[in-house]
Amino acid sequence: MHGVSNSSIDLKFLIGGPQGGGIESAGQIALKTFVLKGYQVIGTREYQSNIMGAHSYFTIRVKPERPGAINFPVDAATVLDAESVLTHFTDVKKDGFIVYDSSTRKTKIKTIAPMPKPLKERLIKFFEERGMEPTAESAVKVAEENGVKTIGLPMRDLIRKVASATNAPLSRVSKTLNTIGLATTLYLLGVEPNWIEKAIATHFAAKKKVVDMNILAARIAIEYVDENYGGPCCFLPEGPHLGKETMLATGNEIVAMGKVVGGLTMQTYYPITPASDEALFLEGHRNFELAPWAEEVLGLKKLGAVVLQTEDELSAIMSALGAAVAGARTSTSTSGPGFALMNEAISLAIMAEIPVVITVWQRGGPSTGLPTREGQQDLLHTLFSGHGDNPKIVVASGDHIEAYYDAIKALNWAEKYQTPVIHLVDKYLASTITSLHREDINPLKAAIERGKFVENPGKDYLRYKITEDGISPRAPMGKVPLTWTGLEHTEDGMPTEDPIVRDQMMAKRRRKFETIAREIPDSEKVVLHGDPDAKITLVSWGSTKPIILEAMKLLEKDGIKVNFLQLRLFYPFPVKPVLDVLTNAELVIDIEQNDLAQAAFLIRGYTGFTIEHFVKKLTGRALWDTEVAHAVKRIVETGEKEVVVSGGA
Amino acid sequence: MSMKQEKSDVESGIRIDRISRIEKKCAFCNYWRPNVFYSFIGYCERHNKYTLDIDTCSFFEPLKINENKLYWCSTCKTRITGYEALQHVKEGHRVHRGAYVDPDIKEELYSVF
Repeated sequence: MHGVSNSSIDLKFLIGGPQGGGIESAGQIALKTFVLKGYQVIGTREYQSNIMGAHSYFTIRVKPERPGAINFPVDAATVLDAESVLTHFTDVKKDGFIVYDSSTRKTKIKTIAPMPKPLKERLIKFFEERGMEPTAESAVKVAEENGVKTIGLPMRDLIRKVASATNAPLSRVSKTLNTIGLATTLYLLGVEPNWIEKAIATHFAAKKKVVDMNILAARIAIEYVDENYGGPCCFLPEGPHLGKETMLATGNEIVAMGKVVGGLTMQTYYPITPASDEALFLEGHRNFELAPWAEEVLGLKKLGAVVLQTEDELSAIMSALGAAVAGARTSTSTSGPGFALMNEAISLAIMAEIPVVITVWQRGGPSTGLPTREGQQDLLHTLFSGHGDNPKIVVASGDHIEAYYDAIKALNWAEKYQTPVIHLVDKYLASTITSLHREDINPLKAAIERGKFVENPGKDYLRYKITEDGISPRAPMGKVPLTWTGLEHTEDGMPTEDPIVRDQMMAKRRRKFETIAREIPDSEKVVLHGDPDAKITLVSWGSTKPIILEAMKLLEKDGIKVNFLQLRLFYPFPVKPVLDVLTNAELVIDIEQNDLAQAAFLIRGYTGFTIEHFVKKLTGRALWDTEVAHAVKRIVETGEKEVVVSGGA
Repeated sequence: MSMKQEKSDVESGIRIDRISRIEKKCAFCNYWRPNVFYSFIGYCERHNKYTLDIDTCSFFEPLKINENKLYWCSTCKTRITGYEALQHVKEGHRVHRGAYVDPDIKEELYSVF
C-alpha cells in the first residue's frame, strides 16, 4: 500500500480457535505488531465459560488513532479449527480472506462437540437449504462464493517443516501453530515480515528459544503463502506513532494500575469472572520497582499493595473493611453474583462510615447467566445495594482512561467521605486490550487525598462528631479507644436507640451526601459529547462510550447529527445537568446493554423525564459502532420505540 | 453385531482394528494421546515424544477398548466411556486412551469462575 496515506488505514481481523489453543498469544502478538508499526489498536476477547477447548476468538481493529469499537464484517479471519471455520465463514467481507487449516475441511458439524447445539442446528439448516453437506468444506465454499479468498494451510506439513528446520521436538513446535496462522494473516494484510518478527521477539522476550522457533514458523508460513497464493499486493505504510512508547493494557490491568497509583494498600477478592484478572495483576505487582521516569515523578522507588484472596465474597468485603478501620486504603473487586453476597457489609460500611472501594465488573446475568460475556445489568443492583437508607457513591467508567482515573478518584472519595464507593465497570472493558501512551495515564493528574484526619486525637476525640458537612475526622487506631458498630450510635460510636441522637445521626449522614454532591464537580458526574445544540441526544453509560463516539461519526456521514450524554455518577445523581440536556433535545434515545433500560429508569425517577426510544444489546457480545449507528438511524427514520441488536458469534 | 456379542467384545478389550478400518498410524495407536485442541498432534507414551497423527513406527499397537475405562474421542473432543468408545469407533470417530493437555495452557486461559 505504498502511496496510501496511513490516515486511511482501518483494519479489522479476528483470530479464532479452541480456547487455550494459542488464541490469546496470537491476539497479543498481532496487537504488538501494529503498535510497533506505529498504529493504535484495540483487541477484544470473546470466550466461553467452560474454559478449555470451546470456541474463542480475538477481534482486532487497527487505526492511526485509537479505535473506539470493533465491528463486523472483518477484513481477515485466522481460524485454527473446524468450529472456528464454521463460526466465522460469513464474518469476512468481500475481497477479504480466511486463513484456515486445510485438514479441517472434511469435519462434519455434528461431530464438533463443543459447538452449541442451537448453532449446529442453524448451520445444518443453512447448508441443507443450499443443498450442501454440513461440513467445514461447505463453509469454505460459501465464503468463496461471497468473494472471500480462502487460504488453506497444510498445518501438519508446516509444523513438520518447522520441526525439521529447528531439530526441536514436536511438543515445542506444536505451539507455533497459532503463529503460523497469524503470520500468514498479518503478511497478507500487508505487514512486512520484520514487524511480525519484532512483535514475536517482544512478546516472548525472555524466552530466546521460543522466540527463534516462532520466528522460524512465521518465516515458513510466509514462504508457503508466497509460493502457493502469492504475497500481498503491497505493504502498509508506517503508522503515525512509530517509535512512540506505547502500553497495551486490558481494562482489568488499567484499573489495577489506577489503584496502585491511587495509593491502594490492600486489595481483597474472591475469584470471579471478569474481576479476578484485576486482583491477579495486583498480585503480580505487589512490590515492583518503578521505571526511572516514574520514580522521578512519584518520588518512590517501589509500589504495590497487599492482595488477600479470601474464602468467599463476604470475607472479602469484611476483610477490606477491617483493613480500612486499621488505616489501610482498601478495595475489593467482584462481579454481580459476588456483589450480591457483599450487600450486608455495604450497609455496615455506610453506618460505621468505613471507606472502601468496591470495583464491580459486570457480566451477563441474572444469576450465573453469561459468566464470560458482557452485561450492564448491575446498575440498579449496585445503586440500591444494602439494606436501610444507604446512600453510597456509584461511578461508571466509559473507557480505559476513565477507568484508570476513576480507580484513583474512587479511593480518594472513599476516604474523604468515609463511605463505600462502587466503581462500575464491565466485562467488555475487562477483556478489551487497548494501546495507551504515557500522557493518557498521568499519575500526577489525580493526587491522593485521604480526607479529614486527626493524627493525635485527644481524650475529647469523637469518631462520629456531628459536623456541618457531615464528615467526622478519622483518627489512627491505637491512640484513643475507638468503636465501630452497625448499630445506630452516639458521636463516640457507642450504640444507642435514643430518638434525638438517631435524628441527628441520620441528618449528619444525609449532610455528608449533600457535601459530596456539592464538592464533586458536574464535569465528573455527566459529560455531553458532540454538539450541544444537536436535536437528537443519545444517552448511555459505561463501556458503550467509545462505541457510541465512533457511531456518532458514522451517523454524521449519513447526515444525522447527534450528541451523547454520558452518565458517570449515579449517586449523587446530577439531576440538573441531565435535565438541561434532555429537555433541549427533540429525540432522546437510550442505549444500554440491559433489558430494563436501567439508566433510563433512574433518569425518570430522579428527573421525571421519560425516555421513549431504546437501543439494547443483550447477547453478551461486544456492542459494535455500526450496530449503534444502524439502530439510531432506524429509530430516527421510522420512529421505532426499541431496536435490539445482536451481532457477534 | 448383537448386544451379546458386543458386550463380550468390550469385556475382552476389543482391538479397534476389528471393528473399524484403520491404518497403522499414530492416530490409531494404543500409545498415542492427541493434543486436546489440535488433534493431529499428539504425545506418544511409548517413545515419550510428540508425533503427528499420520506418523507410524514398528511399535504400532492398535488401541484396545475396555468398558471399565474412560477414553477420549478427538472427533467429538469429549471424554467417553468404553461402551461409548465402541460406538464412536464404529461411526468412524477417532478414539484414544486419553488426551494430552499442554502444561503451558495456563498462559492461554483467562481466569473463569
